[in-house]
Amino acid sequence: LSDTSTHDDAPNATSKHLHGDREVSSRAVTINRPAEEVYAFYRDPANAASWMDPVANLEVIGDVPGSELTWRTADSSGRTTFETVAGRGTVVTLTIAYDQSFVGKIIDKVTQRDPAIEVRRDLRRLKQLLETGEIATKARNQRMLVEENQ
Amino acid sequence: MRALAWHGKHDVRVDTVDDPEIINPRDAILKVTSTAICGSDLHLYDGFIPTMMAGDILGHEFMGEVVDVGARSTLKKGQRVVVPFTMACGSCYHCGKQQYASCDNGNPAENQDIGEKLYGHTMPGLFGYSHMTGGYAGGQAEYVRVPFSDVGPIIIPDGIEDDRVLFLSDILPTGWQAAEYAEIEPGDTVAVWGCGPVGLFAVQSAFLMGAERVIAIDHFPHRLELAKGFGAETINFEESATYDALMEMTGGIGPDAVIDAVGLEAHGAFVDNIVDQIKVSTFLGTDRTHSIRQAVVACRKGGRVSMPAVYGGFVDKFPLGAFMEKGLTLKTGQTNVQKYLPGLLAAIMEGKIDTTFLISHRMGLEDAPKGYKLFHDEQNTTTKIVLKPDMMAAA
Repeated sequence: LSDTSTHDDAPNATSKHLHGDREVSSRAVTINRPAEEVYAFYRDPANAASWMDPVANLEVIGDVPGSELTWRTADSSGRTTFETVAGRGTVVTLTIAYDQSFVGKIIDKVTQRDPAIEVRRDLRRLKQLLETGEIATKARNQRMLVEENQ
Repeated sequence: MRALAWHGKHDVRVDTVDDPEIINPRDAILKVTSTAICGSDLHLYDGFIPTMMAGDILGHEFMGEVVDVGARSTLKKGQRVVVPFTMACGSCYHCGKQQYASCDNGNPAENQDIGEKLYGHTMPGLFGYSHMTGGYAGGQAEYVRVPFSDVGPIIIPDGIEDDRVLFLSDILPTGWQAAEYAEIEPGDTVAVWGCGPVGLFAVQSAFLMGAERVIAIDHFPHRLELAKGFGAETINFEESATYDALMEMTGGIGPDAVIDAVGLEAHGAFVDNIVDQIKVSTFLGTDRTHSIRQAVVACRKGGRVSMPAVYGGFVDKFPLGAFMEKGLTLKTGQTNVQKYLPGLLAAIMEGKIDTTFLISHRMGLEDAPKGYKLFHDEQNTTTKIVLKPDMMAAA
């Protein structure tokens, strides 16, 4: 991840200055469960399909059990941290850096495949699963559920 | 099944659609026995709420019989339940603080984007109230899927008819919360703008919470009569100057607390309201807000403003200076229905709160489009329409 050297305490990805040749996006969500449980669920590849948009060739390059994971794919790299906050559960912060051309950015936004959009929705589904045991859907029956997931 | 669907501004129809099924483990399916048309359904009917799609099934005030349950539902088939219009998971941070209407988890991940962009934070999941709040099918239908059925619905004991408890779904707790947010102290005078269902329940609730006097403001004579029936004094804003009347009736002090139960479609031929209507019709503004302006100006110094009224967008000419200089406090929000259900059900059973006085019309589901038109066009005596899916359509 590029170091943008901001002088305040705001997260790097919120810097208004350019991040060099890569897009950097970050997002935090608070999940009302213990950090070990959140980490273990997040880390288990068997759970990924239930909450995460599919990512090809994901390679874990760093693992601090219970607190941090780093990874890379062909065109992105990222870090996820897990931090216990008393009375509120676990703050999961996901930072991702990725290659994206100017035109690619527009296409990704229009098709809703922008990595920042995917991360945002992935983290919401993760929170729903861990806090409620299920993922919210407006589908009224199985046929509509299948259509929605296509 | 048959269901009332939105097709556009002033266009609702009863369509035949697929029946709902259990999707998630905490779901239940209800056979709807009673469902009401809410004043806020008229905001959808009038096209004021964004992110509606043709075919959306409306209805967020409903009750019924449990006909199917998921593996983690705590309900049993055959039970009668009333369902809160706000979906709440019961396990997120907000639910833990009984801020059920702020639940993080009821709204599907994709639908949360809209609220986050528009309001800075995601909106809760609601039944039948646009895709901003989840796009869930509502209860103006023969059957409805109810998520988080282990947390929200309240079980109704046998022998209590639907009409006495149906309004636990929204307008009774909304009126109650409005009065609670007015932080009423003994001896207080409370002014309530709007004698629709929420305003009338706020009047009853304010007295139960110890208000000395309640002054109800509207322009429909029949609705003012209903408020009078609960002991309120009344101001008809078409007959009298509201601010002047309130000041004189309170010895020049102003009401200690004011409740805006009108919201974004305020009536009346006031200059600022006419300007608002022109702006709304030309897309320059979204909310017509005469009632909240008048309430802020009339409220006594150091008083409380409670705003159960629904607003959706932006306003201008809000008297922010009066608000600051007088040191007012504002409390508002969607209703944390689940928090109030046990207490309000008990109050109904003990006869402390009357709900059936409100119902002016009962009709079959097939007549729902007529009901919407009637509720929209004739608001003096059409105080509340209850739809009974089992009732045959009128000839």
